Amino acid sequence: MYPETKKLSTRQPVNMDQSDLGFAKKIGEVAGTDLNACLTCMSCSGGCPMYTYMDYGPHGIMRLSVLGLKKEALSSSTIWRCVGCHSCAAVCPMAIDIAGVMDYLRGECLHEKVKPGDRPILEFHRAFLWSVRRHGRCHKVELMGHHKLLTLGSGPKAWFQDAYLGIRMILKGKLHLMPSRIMARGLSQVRKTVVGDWLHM
Amino acid sequence: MSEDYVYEAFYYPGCTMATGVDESNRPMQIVLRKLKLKLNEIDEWNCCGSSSGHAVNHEIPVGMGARNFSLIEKGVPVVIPCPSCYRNWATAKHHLMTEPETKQKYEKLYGQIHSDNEILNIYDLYHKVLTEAKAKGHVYEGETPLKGLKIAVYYGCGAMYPKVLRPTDQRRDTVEKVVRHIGAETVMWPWPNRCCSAFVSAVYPEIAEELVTQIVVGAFESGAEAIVTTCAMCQMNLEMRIVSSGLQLGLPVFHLNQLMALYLGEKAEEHNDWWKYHLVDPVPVLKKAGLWAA
Repeated sequence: MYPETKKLSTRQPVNMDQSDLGFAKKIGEVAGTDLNACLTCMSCSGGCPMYTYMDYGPHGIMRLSVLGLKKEALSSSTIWRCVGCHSCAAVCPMAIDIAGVMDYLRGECLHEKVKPGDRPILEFHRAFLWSVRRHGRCHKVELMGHHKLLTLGSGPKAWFQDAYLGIRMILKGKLHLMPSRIMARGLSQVRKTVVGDWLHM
Repeated sequence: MSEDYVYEAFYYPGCTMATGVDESNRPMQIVLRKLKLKLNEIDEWNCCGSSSGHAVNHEIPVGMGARNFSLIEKGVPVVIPCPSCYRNWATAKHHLMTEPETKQKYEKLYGQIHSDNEILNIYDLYHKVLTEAKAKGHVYEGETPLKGLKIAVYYGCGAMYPKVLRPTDQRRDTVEKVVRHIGAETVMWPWPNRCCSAFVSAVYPEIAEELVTQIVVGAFESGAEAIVTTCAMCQMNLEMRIVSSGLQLGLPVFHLNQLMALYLGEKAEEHNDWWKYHLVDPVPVLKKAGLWAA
């Protein structure tokens, strides 16, 4: 994983031909926040722990959304590398729920079947939610195994990374081998909620 | 409530505390017993959705929170040890309280939802109980202030909220207050709320190493001898992802529960069943602070 050059910091003019001007309004309605309040002050990017590894950074995504550049926003790596730590929302002088906007954009990326900007992270979320569907709770050991299966195409680094550490943690007893589960009726209730476009990929 | 307890509530462990982290669960049981707190685990609780739920579908944490809220009794608060679970509960509560149609939808699925119940972080509870005890002049049996331990309090990003979820009386120094109350010193340092990289640690370890090293080195340079956290995931990331040069700094990462238990009279040298789970050995720091009777 290497730092990414920021796509907004180029001399290329912004292509507005395909812009969808209702996009910011739609995000605002679902995420409950007014994007037009954004000052592009970059406080969010300043506080973002993942900024170095993003292609636009949170302020860039805010700008793309306001300009209606939906395709660029949904296909960016920024939305997937966002960890949802809410540092951006906590520092935003206009009190925009930026992490909430990222949640909406990720959902929209899956819904519109846009190629996700960071596949391994999406697969992690899928492995996690599959674990929750199976047990009603997350089981970490199983989650890591499943994630390795889902990212088999990513090459040997992804297969072997942390194998030693994982075994060490299990031997230490820091991670339990057996899952903590909920029983049949509760499980079917949970499964009604843990659904979405991620399921059918 | 029976007279033997000063406080009774529901307890939501969350997946991390339920499948590991015995080094925090064990001292927590001791602390709850000594502080006379009765926490009843919610029957058949489900995952809060964690980072992955809201990442792919913003309705998941609301739905999962709704089911959890349907399992509790009216008027009884819920105590949550994990800051990230707490934020997901708060998100669900916000949506269920402000959108009647959302609440109706989930009540059809899960029955009555008690979303107006109070939810609180376990460190808020500790702060409340310790302050009340102090005001009454109550001294716990075997109370030993942890003198001479310099601590960097690390909240992690779990204590950050968007504006709508921010509690009106939110304090940014609850854990510092608890740590000072139990006799240890806190240091001023740059990263109390810095993200530890959460799940990205599992996908891109190199990013986690960079963030974690920044956090641990920041604590060391500010004069801390140890870090304390309330989040089990932060604790794991900080110990697991530290690069070897950072490991030499020898900064162990304690769970708040462990320090609380030591304060309430537990002997560090008798609890190898906690320390053995640590990847960074905390024993030298405990010995240096005089908490380890050889």
